[in-house]
Amino acid sequence: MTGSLSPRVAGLLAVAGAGAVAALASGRPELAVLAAPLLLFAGVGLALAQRPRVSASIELDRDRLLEGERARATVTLANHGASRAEVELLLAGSALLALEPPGPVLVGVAPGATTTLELTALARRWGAHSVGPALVRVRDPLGIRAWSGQLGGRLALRAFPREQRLRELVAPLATQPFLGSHVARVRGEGIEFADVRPFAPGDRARQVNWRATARRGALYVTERHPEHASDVVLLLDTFAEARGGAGGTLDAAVRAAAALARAHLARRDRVALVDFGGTLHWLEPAFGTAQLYRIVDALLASEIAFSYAWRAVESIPRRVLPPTGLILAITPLLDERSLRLLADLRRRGADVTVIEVSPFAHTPPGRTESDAVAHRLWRLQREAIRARLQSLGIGVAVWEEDAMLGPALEGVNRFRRSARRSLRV
Amino acid sequence: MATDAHAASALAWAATALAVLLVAVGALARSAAPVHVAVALLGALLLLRHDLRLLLAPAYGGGLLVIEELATRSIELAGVRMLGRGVMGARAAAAGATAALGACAGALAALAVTGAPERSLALTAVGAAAIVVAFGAIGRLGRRTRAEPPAPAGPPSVHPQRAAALPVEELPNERVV
Amino acid sequence: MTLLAEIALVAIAALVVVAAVARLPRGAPPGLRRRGLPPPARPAQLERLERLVSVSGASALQAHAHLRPLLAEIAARRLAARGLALGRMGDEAGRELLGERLWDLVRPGRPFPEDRTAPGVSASELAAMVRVLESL
Repeated sequence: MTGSLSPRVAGLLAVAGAGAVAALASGRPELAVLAAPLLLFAGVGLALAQRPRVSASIELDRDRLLEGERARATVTLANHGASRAEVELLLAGSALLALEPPGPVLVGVAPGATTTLELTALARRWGAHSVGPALVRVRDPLGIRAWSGQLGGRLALRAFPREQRLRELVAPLATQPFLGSHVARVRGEGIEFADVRPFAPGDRARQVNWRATARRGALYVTERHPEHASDVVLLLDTFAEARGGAGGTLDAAVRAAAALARAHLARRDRVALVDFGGTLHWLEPAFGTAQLYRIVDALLASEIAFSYAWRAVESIPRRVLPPTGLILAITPLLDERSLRLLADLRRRGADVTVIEVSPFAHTPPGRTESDAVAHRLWRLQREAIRARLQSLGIGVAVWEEDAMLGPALEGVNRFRRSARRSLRV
Repeated sequence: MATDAHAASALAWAATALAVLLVAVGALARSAAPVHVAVALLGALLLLRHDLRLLLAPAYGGGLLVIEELATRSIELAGVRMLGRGVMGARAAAAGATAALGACAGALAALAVTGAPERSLALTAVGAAAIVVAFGAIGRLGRRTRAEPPAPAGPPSVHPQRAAALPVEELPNERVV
Repeated sequence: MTLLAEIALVAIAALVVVAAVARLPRGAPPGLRRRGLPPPARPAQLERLERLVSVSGASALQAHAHLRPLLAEIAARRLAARGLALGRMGDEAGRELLGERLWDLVRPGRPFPEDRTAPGVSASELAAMVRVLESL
């Protein structure tokens, strides 16, 4: 801990010195008598102040919670010194973690005693937060000296995003030959009816459609669509975001990504994650709960990293982008690089759908007439960008954060069906 | 004489009002400097009295220390959101005890001065020497950085037992192919 | 002589007091503070538009070079949604649908302004054009 003098010491000595010198110069002893208590206070305080011997430990009652929930932090202060210590304590924490009380706490700890403080940490937003260390300032009993430092360690507190439950998902165009929940276009063993055709050698007896056979006088069999899994790539755009006081588009994008990952993994799809922005991170496609944890862990680390680097599709390893997979791009469409990436992917034949996280809630119009016009022009520009993507066959679901994601996905499914018919997607 | 007393009284009130304003400014600006200027101003007001100055000076000096302590304490506590039990009492007791001690020391000094001869070069030299010694010693104390043994590290911060249910639910009916 | 000596003694005492106060280490900073929330981030896409609107008002050249392509794309997309093509539209139809000022700016083949110092598109003119586009 670093020791320093209280700012009052210089003032006390200055006033006492002025009184003493004035007494000497003017021959008025009462001025020196006035100065005596001030001088004595400073002298006694400086002489008696000893470096404190205080330690602290921090405990959290939980290390994981959902955003918006609280964890309890217990700080235990121990005074190993010979004199009473006045400890001003502020628990450090991530910017998006609201600690209560929000300001410093002042406690006195008797020599040889311990004191326990209980604070609460509210996770304002998802993320990998940290609690601690404790920033302390310890004063001597007269408040003449102060020692500042950090005590205790840093503890991790992970806040998981609150997810919406999704019933409707974007239906992938192609599936994989693994058992899943999507009705495949191919024909094989399944439940969904596909067609009726004449019996061919190799067909099984239970496939025979007796009604059609009786009507036509020859053996006919029923063909079905099997239920397959598909590959889904969640592409999170972290080039840029719109951020207001309460939150930003990245906050909503991560919640949407977590909800989509859970829903697709529950349908036995393989899900991959690509964090595409100033920095590039990815998770290769995999199934199951373990993949869900990996994805959510990776999402907690998402942040906007400012960069001028131009990233292209080639930056992403091929094994992360299965050729027949569905790419769900969750983006606020604020950066030209992400628009280029989407167009590139589409031109390479990828099945791309965009979930546009609307930035308008976090970006009110400016105050001047010119800025207000620019804001309206911005809306029109974004509609033109959407139209540009749709002309390439990329469905765009516009999602306002306070609305449910499901209806937006329904809308994009309708677009995809009509686009398949008209554009041969 | 009456006019002089009236003028002195008006000056005293004006100076007191200025001192209060300076203390308020110091509290708002979180700076001790205006507080100390106010204390000096209040100290100088004693000179407006023509009688009992030496008798009142010890208690008056103790009172100035109390004002200084209260004002600087309010500056220290400006951002604090929670106060532990006994914090205010302990500090007030320490400051009060020191003020009382200072007032006693002042009273002793006043007694000594009462019996002292008229102003002379020798007395001035003694006074100057006392100031040099006192402020020299206090200045050294203020700049002291003694090598003290470091505080013990204390118990490490702990993670909770991972018994609480995870907020990420398991997927239903998972089947890996 | 005595007076000078007394003055000297007082001066020495005063110097010692000043030196003692001046050489004291600096006091501790006022308070412990925690990091605040991250500041709001206005998207660069919007800030570029705000600058464009401001610059286009001052210069016809800037309006032609930067504002025109944006308005032309927006108009083309909105007309395409109604089954119309901006590139194949005649002057009369263009003026009727988009208004004189907007059509003059976005019509195909519009040449660079000869007078490069002429004023561009003011905020109020642009607001009127935006109203027309919003109504398409």
